[in-house]
Amino acid sequence: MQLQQQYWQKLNEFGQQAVKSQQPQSPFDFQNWENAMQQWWKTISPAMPDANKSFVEKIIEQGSAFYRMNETLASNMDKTSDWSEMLNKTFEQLQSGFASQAEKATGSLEDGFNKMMGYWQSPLESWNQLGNSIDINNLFFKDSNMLEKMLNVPGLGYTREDEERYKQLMQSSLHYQHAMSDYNRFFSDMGTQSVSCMKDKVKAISDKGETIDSGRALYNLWVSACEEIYAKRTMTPEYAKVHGELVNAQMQLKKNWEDMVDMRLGRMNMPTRREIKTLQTRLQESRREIRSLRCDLTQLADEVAALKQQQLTPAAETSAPATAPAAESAAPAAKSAPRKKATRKKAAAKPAN
Amino acid sequence: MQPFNLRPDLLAQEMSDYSRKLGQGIQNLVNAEEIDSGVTPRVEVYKEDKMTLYRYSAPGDVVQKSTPLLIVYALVNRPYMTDIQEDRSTIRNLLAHGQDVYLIDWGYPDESDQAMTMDDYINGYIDNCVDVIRRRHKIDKINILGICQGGSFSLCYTSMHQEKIKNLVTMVTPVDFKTPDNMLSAWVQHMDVDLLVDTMGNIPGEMLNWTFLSLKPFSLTGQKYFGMVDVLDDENKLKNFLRMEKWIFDSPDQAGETFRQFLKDFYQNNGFLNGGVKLGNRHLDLKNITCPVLNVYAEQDHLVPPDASRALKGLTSSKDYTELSFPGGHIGIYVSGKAQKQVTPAISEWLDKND
Repeated sequence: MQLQQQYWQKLNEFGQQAVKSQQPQSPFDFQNWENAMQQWWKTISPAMPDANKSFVEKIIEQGSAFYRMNETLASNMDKTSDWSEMLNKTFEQLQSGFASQAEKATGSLEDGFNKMMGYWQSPLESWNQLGNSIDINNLFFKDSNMLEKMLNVPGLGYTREDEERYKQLMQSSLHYQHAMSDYNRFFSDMGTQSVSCMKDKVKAISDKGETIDSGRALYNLWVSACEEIYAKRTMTPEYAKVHGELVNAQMQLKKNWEDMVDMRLGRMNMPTRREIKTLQTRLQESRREIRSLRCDLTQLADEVAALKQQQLTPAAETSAPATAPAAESAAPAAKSAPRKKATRKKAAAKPAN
Repeated sequence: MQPFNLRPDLLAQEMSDYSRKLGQGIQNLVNAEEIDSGVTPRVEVYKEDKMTLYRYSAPGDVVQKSTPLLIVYALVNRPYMTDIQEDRSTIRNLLAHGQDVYLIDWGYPDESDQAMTMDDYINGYIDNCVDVIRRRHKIDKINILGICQGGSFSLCYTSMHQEKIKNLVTMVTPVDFKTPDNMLSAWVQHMDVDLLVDTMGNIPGEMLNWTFLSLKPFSLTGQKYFGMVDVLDDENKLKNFLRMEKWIFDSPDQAGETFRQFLKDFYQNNGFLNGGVKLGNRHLDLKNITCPVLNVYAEQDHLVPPDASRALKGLTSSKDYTELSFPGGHIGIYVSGKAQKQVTPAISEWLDKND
């Protein structure tokens, strides 16, 4: 462990030395701060355990977003004294910078906005991960209207049922595509609204006679502006609808896919999900029934013990005292019967309520 | 007035400080020890399927109260939040105030638990645990403390087994699921829950994680990690951060049928207020609750808004209903130093008063 720690320390020092030449020569040389951090990370990341790597990458990504904001802001500070114009320019440049990169990579302006926030898990990405069993992209076609028409044509012949199932799968994939588009469209203007909210917040600070004194304070203000707009938009009935549609569409697609897998497994005489689910349901119902019966048995046992006690009591009054302890010990024995193993639900007797 | 008081040299200094903290703190991160889950000694007293009932060991010099307290945690997330570190442990604090503390650990459901219903959890597991405790202590009634969804479960349980409960404490418990500021509730109104459960079976813990992160995505997936750099150089603070991180993402899957009923009957149909909830063969009616009730809620709770908890007032037949508010969030009510000083002693005091 000690050797590992020494190795890590030396590597870290080396990394810092190695990138010294990349570090900005002047504190005002903003272009290279992010490059320096990225280079440092490239140097040390191969030696980092995998378990920690992704965690640190998140921190690096946030740091990059912070640096980028500071760098862009500082470069605009010299160009204008109007703070509102400076803020506008800063966020426009940040957004267009990410948008052009994202558009080249994915064709999506939305990705650009998400990257600006360093929002490492965009809704699109998350939903794709949730629907992990299906390679949805391969099911998409360019001309969805034509495809929908084709899918509505009824099946014919011996393979009619199979054909219908495949069509349902295709239709549900198209529906999912539409639901996803609607969902993304809902967020398309959030960037602009967030900038507007940010300006309002900055104005409010200014009106109070206060100032923003650090890059961190500006970053935190930006996060709060984004959260505020996000919360407002996602509390609308419109969002509830597109969110519900998206979830339902994805689940329907997944279900159709699973049904087809089950069908294939069944034909190969393999256990299917549907079969196992039926067994689980019946098993759980049986367990409930057993629990209920055990309760009834316990109650009956208590009643029988009470009746026996009543019957014995008159006999105990007329017979020799030596028999009394035997009669008295019968009831406690019933109440304190050893508790059965944990898988059974109720013990022999319970304290009186 | 110019709102920006930013100088390029100070901005550069900020970035330099960030880099330095990151570089120095990485070593602490790599060398961080394994994160423990729960710090107070306990013994297993009863086990059924994946559920375990634990009894916590009291400090030697503390005289314990005669009525034991059963903590019922939510199915969502793990119960060691209540015992996350030595100086921020609700359980440890309760023990120090003389409470005899039991806790139900639900375990990690798997695919074989899909058919488990709310009735199985409430009238099965919880009822069995209550009976075990009653037998061990030779008493008729115990105290129960329900947390979040566990509080909802405790309300259901007490309404159906009032004869076994002496005092009921609910903490950050949703009662009215359709308050205007309830984001989670708003999001599920158009969801086809039957389709969801029929498709997924159990609901994956990851899905719930993502949903909770989506409530505040920018701060919970971005800003939090940016701010983490400030604690990287302090081993204790880093360890506490990593403990919370572990707990946040340590989410068990939800048994499908339980999830189905909880979402439909409560989030969509607001069952506590509108009625219509059945557990097994029995209808739920909070008016069956007659014991003293202490309702604790957090004023900045974004998961269970205060109004969602306060709605409990007037729904039971209890003649001794008390509310306790805490100026914090859903998690802060257990882990913040302030909560340890205010909330836990208040709960213990209330229980003693009603013992």
